[in-house]
Amino acid sequence: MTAGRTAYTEALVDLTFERGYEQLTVGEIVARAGGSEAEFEAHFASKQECAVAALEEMIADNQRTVKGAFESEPQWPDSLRAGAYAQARWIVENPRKTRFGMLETLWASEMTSALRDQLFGEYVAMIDAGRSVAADPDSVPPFAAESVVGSIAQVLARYSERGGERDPIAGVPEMMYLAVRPYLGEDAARRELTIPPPSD
Amino acid sequence: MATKRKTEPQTLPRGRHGLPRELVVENQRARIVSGMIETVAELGYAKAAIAKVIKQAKVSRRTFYETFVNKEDCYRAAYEATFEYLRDRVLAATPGEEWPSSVRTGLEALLESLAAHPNLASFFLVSPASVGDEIVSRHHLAMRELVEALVSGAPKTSGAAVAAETRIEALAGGLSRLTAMKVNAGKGDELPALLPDLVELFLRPYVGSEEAVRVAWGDERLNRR
Repeated sequence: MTAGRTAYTEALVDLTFERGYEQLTVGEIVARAGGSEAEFEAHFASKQECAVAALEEMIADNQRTVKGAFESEPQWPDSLRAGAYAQARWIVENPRKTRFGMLETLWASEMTSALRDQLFGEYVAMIDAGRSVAADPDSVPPFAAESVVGSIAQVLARYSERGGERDPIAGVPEMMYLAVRPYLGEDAARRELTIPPPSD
Repeated sequence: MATKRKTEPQTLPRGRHGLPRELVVENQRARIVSGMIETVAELGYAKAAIAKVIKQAKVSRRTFYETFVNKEDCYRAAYEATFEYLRDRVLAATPGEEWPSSVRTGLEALLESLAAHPNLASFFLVSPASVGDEIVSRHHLAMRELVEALVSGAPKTSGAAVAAETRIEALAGGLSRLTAMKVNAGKGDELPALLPDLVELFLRPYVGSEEAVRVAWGDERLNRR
């Protein structure tokens, strides 16, 4: 029986959420996907390769959503705020993919670290677009966006570790504060803390 | 090897250097730990076989297993030793130094220590993710402890925009990201160049942008704003 390539990547993501990644076997992935070892092997050389494919799908889906929202607003930081809310909603709607994406051990191989650089590069570009509206672009520290991405990733990871105890949507104003401050200064950053989430 | 189980360790025999047994053991432990750091930095954790570590450390396999339970146990000890070394560099640099310039001095000590020891930098900043979830969590905590040591002189702020907890996390995340970015790119020797960026990042939440820029970049840059 043919299950299809994504049946395996989805099974891997689901099983990782339920039981953790490290002990997972190809046999368990195949059983959950309702496919066969032969089909799995036709798509992936190993569990690791299947995990890389799952990360690629996750990134593509996430970036479609977040960049789409970012590009729907012409002006920074409105664009960044739209992207941030899209990101937060994506996290709420995709708890399994989020948990999977937060597994730092998955990102340690050469293949996945290139993927991470690509993903972080997208976020860095969305944040560093603030440079074009800064009063003096040269006065913004060269690595401002990189450190903001690092900060937000760490704060979000902590949200997720605490088992959804904190709502990422409620955390957006704080994230926006961190992202806006290096570009537009303290006052503009503090305004972000008072802007309510979009109603839709 | 198994037949020698009951004899004393073969390296650093008592007669040659007259060291007490405790010191020999301590010395061997330190050599294994640095062997682990070097090997992981060069080959990555997965390929850092115990055979390679003990060759680097010039100890026997038996000595290794007398000191550590397994490779992970040894890695953990090496991680803690590295963290303590770096935290001590930060703490040793700052006594008597006034806030907020203490942040600059502490960060400078940290970046210089990492740049001076590229293998230690790669081991500490990059390798934890390749070991396992437990070490990843430990590394997050360790980065937070470094941040707390760096901002320990900060006066209690009132009217802070974000909770203290979030502020520390955010600084730890920024510090991790920027330093790992350099080390991953093979540019560990350029870490000290991150100093003004990091000083501004660390001080802005506490003293506001203007003062942060002044301490980070000096008056010249501030006048341009």
